[in-house]
Amino acid sequence: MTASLPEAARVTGRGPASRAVGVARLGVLAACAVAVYVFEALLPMPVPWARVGLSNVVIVVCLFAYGFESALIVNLVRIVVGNLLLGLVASPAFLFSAAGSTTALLAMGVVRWKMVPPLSVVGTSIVGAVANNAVQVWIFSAMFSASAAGAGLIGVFILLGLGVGSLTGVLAARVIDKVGLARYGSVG
Amino acid sequence: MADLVTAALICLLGVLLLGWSGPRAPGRTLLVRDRSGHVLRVELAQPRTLRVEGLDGETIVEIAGGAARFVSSPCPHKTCVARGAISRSGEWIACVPNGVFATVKGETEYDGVTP
Repeated sequence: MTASLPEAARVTGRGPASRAVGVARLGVLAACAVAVYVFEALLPMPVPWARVGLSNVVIVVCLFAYGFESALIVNLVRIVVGNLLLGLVASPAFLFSAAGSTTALLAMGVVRWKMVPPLSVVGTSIVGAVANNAVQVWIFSAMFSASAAGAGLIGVFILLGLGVGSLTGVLAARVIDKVGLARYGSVG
Repeated sequence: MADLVTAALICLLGVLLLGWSGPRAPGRTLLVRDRSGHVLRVELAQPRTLRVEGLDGETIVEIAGGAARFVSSPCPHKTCVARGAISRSGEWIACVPNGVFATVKGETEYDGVTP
């Protein structure tokens, strides 16, 4: 991945060739996101109902290097294919991951392009993680009509979001740095 | 800089919301929601075993000694079983994969009114 991505990113012109490269690049990113997503699901959770969300590193890298639309596509593939492989499409877990990740991406997109002064990769990742957790706690409360239970969880999950968002943000920043993706700007 | 301010604000919000959960007086009634959202109301003082219909199968809820716990559930992580017993007002157990939720209600509706 580290060798082929910047090569792919350099092709920024129009026409069938660059289009094919763009599609191939999205495919590689999506495959990578699905692989990490499924792998992490196999690990035990550090806190009940909470995980680090390592595949979000791919989403954040994608957002910064290739733009919002690319990140949206990679996220959709990750959630649908990842949950299909895990056999969770019909379970509430699918609703949680789909709603959480989409909201996180929207929040990161808004922060990335509208916020002045801009946030770094780490700051953007934190916003995404906290948005994801807040929405999931909200769905949990709504699912059981138990706002009191959600109230007891929201503080913990905002702080957890801060923690895991920082971690995935630092990892994403390192990937962008090492691979030099940021130099090629958004081509997605 | 903007990063630090954002992180600090989020941290502050999180810490402020940490304490946001009601008082914990001993409870009296257990409310159990099944897969269809139907709520069953049972007294904690009366020992019994409930079989609650969930999304993936039956969750067994045991009431004994004024407390309730999930004895078994068909979910993958068994977080609800690991939660242990609940007995105080506002405490809850949730099994998200199986769609079953239980929470303890307060003493009585007239608690503290009569002299």
